Amino acid sequence: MPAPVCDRPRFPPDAIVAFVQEQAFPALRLGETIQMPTAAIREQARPHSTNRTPDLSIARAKIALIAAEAISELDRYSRFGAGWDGYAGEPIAPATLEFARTLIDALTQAPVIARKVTEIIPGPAPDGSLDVELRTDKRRLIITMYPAPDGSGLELRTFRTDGVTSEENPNLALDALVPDLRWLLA
Amino acid sequence: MLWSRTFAGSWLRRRCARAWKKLDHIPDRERLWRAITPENVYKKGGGIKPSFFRDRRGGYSCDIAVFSSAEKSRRGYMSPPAWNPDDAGLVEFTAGHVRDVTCDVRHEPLNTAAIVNYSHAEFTRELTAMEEDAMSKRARIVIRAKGR
Repeated sequence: MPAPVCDRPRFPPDAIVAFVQEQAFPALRLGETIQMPTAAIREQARPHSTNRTPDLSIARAKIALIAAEAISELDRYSRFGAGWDGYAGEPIAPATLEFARTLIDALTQAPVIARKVTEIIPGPAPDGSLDVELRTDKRRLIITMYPAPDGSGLELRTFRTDGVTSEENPNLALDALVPDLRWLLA
Repeated sequence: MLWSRTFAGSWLRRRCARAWKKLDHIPDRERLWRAITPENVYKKGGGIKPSFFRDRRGGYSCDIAVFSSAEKSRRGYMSPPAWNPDDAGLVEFTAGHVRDVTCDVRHEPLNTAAIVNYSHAEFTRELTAMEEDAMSKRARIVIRAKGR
């Protein structure tokens, strides 16, 4: 196969540089200097940042991803039928799943949660109850949601541990979650 | 003698199973198995979620390993299975682990239209959150659930 032939004349690099300079500054000849008009010179523009809290933005994006994973796992639980665990497992109650979704949505809106919580892990139980486990670097808080026996609402229980000490709070009201969340984020 | 890993022990166990005899006591060292779904395994680290050990209704089920087989316990004794046993893994713990968390386990053979399981045993009460967490750390996964 014959070698490709370049039909254009070859220019040395310094000829190309001279040509570009000539085009850009017609008054400038080789070896001369050019005086720029002062009006054309201005201070370098100050860097303008539209995001004054980049760490928070990253944290928000991260917690949104974690929450989306948790919600998609909850969606899987909603398809569980009786005996889903290979034994006599009860389906996870819709009210429990709905509460877990709302809780995760609400938590991810708070900047402090976004910064500190590293994992949100749901967990189904054979009795139809549901866990939402929140983890920070050093602490774990498990919020357990049982459907009320009469179907009218939920019963809550929390378990918190930092690896050294553990504490369990059974039969909580919804607003009683606040001290546990404060402990998690402390 | 019944629990010994000798020929005589094996013969005695077969006789008990044939007679459907309910056993009074499960020794601490006896291994217990329970099937686990992928949803009960942490994605990171592959540990067991504490919710795996929760059953508020009481009578948390497991199988006495010496009367079962890993594959049978993993796939479950329910016929037909109400889940996808191909995805299941198997968790192992001992009667001693259950007693360590101040609960107990008793032999409770099942013989119903849907389940015939002589190896079936159950916890004597519901575990607290702390006990569930302790059990999830003591137990180990012997066959991994699909995808986890």
